[in-house]
Amino acid sequence: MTQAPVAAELWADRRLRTVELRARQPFAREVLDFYGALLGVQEQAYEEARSARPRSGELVAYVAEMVVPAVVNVSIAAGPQQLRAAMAGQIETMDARDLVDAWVKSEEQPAVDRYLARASAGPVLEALGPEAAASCVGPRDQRHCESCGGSPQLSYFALAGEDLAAGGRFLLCGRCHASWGYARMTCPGCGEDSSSRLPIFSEEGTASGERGSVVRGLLGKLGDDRIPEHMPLFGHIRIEACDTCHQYLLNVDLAADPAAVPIVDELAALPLDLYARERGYSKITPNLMGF
Amino acid sequence: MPAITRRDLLKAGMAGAGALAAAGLGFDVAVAESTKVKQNLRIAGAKESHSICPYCAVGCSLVAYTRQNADGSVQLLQIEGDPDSPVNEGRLCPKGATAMQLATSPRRVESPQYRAAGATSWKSVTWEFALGKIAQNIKASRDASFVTTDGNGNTVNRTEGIAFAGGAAFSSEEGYFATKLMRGLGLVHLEQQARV
Repeated sequence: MTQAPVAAELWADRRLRTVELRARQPFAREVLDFYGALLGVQEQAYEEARSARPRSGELVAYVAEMVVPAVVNVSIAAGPQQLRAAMAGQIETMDARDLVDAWVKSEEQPAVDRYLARASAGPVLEALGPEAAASCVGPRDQRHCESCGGSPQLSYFALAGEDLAAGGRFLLCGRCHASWGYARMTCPGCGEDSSSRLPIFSEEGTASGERGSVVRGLLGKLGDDRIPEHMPLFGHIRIEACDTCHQYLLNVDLAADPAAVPIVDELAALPLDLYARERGYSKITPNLMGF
Repeated sequence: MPAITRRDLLKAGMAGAGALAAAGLGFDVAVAESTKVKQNLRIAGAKESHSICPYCAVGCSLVAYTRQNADGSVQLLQIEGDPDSPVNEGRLCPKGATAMQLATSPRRVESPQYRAAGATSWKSVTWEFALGKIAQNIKASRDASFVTTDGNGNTVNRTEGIAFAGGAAFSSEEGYFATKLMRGLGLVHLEQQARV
């Protein structure tokens, strides 16, 4: 069960949301400024891949030759100092094909190599869809992407199509950005489904009951006269953790903020990542920026 | 690569922001700024639980969010339809969508209300009083309306002055018990609100 947004909207939405969050969340500016610069390169790679349509056997070579150089350039131009230095240090010796091949084969990689391969291959896999993703290595089961076998980097609650309904939960693949439906009260890391072992951490004031409403997403008469003591910064994002495997994902609730773009909002929720880490949880799949 | 011990894992976990920064691509400013923001966040743990809407026989699945407060009390935060349920696929009727009021509404009537014959207002009474009054009224109505034989002389032993309506949220066991009790009293007018 994948959801494919229209291509033009997909990139415009990401750009717009990056600008919005940059203005609202100054603590994430360093990440969002760089992501904004990278988006231009990724969108171009996406459009070119849709035109060129390389065969799945040519995927690695195509990404290495057509996309990696542009991602290296933008990383050197707009990335943080550590990334710029790492790129400059290995640009002469780097074998782009090896990098991308290791990523497609789910092999362990240093953080900078993984970033480079992921930022380059992501838009191409997204453009070509399941046919190209089928050449990627990884298990095809409920906890991994149906298309490429990648692990989930975030979870989101989709908007329901009608009032008084709750939308289903989806996981978003960290490799090809496809989404697939997944049970709400089950850990995407290990399959644990005992709710007592699946703590949720969210800011106070994010649940409907705390806002004085009895119906999720609607203001209630009972709550109209209540002024919240505390306005949450991440009203639509929460940490979904597991005490069995000690992993977590951030979950973006589109019903709480329909303008949210999960892949962008998750990048900007760094304080929640820090909180989860402090409590001893590790992310199932870190996002593109390594958080 | 050396084997990772439990101590290494614990150290990595406790390193927090430092570990996150090291594992990333050098977003030191963002990590430093976010650490300050994190310190001011009021984050609390919650738990999701499955439940069933009590209002009608459809039995829609609910997801309830609860939080355990510092004093040990459990606070109900939110109730919504369970999108993974094949029964309702996340949907709830307007009544079920407000199921949280069952537990949290400040308007909830917390004691039986009694309006005496001829009185113009209700007053709160104890459960002991209410149950005693109901029992007295049942006995009085039964005694006054009990029919031993019908028009053809057949023995019927029935109570025609009382009717019973069961609630939609009755379980099978409650329904069986209520029917048994009412038939024992001789009631013939039994109805069940097995729908919204």
